[in-house]
Amino acid sequence: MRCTIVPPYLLARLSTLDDSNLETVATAAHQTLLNTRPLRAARQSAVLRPADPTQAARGPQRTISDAGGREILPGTVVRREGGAPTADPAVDEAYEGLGATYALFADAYGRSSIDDRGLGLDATVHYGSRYDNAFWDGERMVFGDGDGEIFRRFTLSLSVIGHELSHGVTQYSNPLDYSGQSGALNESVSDVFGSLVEQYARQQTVADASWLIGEELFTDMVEGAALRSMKAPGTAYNDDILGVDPQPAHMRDFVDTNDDNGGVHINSGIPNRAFYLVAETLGGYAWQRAGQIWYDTLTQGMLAPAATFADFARATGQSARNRFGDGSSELDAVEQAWSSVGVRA
Amino acid sequence: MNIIVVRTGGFAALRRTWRVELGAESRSALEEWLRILDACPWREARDLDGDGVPDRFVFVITVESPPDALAAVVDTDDSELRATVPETRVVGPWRQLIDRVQSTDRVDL
Repeated sequence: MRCTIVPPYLLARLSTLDDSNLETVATAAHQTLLNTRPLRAARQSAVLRPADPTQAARGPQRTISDAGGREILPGTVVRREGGAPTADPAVDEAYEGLGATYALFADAYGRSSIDDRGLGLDATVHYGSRYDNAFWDGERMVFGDGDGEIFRRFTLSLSVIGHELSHGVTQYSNPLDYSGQSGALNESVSDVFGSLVEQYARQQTVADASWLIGEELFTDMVEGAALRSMKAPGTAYNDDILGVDPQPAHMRDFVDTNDDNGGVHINSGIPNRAFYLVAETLGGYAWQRAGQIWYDTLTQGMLAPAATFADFARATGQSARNRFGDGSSELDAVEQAWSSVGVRA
Repeated sequence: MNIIVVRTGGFAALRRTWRVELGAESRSALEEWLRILDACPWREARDLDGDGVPDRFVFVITVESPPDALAAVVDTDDSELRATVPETRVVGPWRQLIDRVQSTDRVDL
């Protein structure tokens, strides 16, 4: 790989100097930036490859259990890794969804399962009776069947499955306290990677993707597209019974509440929108550059457990700088995005 | 006496409320409600926050105008009893109480 001596951030700074004595330096620096753009692009795509493909290539170790409608974990094992599909769609959706989640983290980031050490992926389906929820209990993903009136079964949505496993990634890489702003960041990170799992599985670009979380969950009786929209927080549903999607898209609309652990699923709209804006600005496949910046932020020990939105914004800026350089379009996209949602890094 | 169960959080973060108004209940039905309410550990649940488990529910249980005997158990002078109970702590009498309120009031959202 060829390397340039003068780092891109320095060239960028030189190219903006307006002192007339330094005009030639500025012009030269600008020219060099232009000339080395293909080089830098090649290098960036090089670092996007898995860090250790052999480790990640071992593949997932999935075990799906059935709680049989009771609220007791783990339930009875019904499908193991490599086992044939069952006649139960919830079991097979969970199995496939765990595989798709493993694939994103392995292929895009070289991560071997949620702990990066090949941890087995466990899930339980048919939890509880008419249970309207899915959750990560610290060890496994758990899915309810829904009540059939508002919610269908939670395994129907790949973004939901990716969301739950991403809670595991957060837990193993950079725990974030599950209340207030750090809790909303914990939620947002799960929405980001949940959405990316779906986009990667479908090979969708930023423009093709729905950016919806839980698109398949509502029954036909609900007036709504999904549970959340990362592209346009606050617009996912507007229903007579459920009310209006309460997510803010900007800091000025931050919701102070004691509900929902201090609004962790509500204020996550703000960092969700910031991620979408970074992805939109950079274009292409969102799991590549935007996703890489968020992944680096989560996995390089940059965040305190009680991190605020501003802390997270600063950390994503640092991640963009570390990987793509000062003056890079990636860093610029990150800074613009946080500014657009009213978060001062 | 009114018993209100508010459930927040969960993956969808939809706020749902179930409410039971106890007035014209039969004596035996009222006694059953009081037996369950009395068994709930109100004192230890008054300041409980979420349990830190991602995407799980949090319940806020309120008893308006509780009978004096019940208020005395909790040692409160307030006109209502209130407890915040994260889903992982919903066991025993809390589970009985929440199930009973939900099944008594199935229609309200």
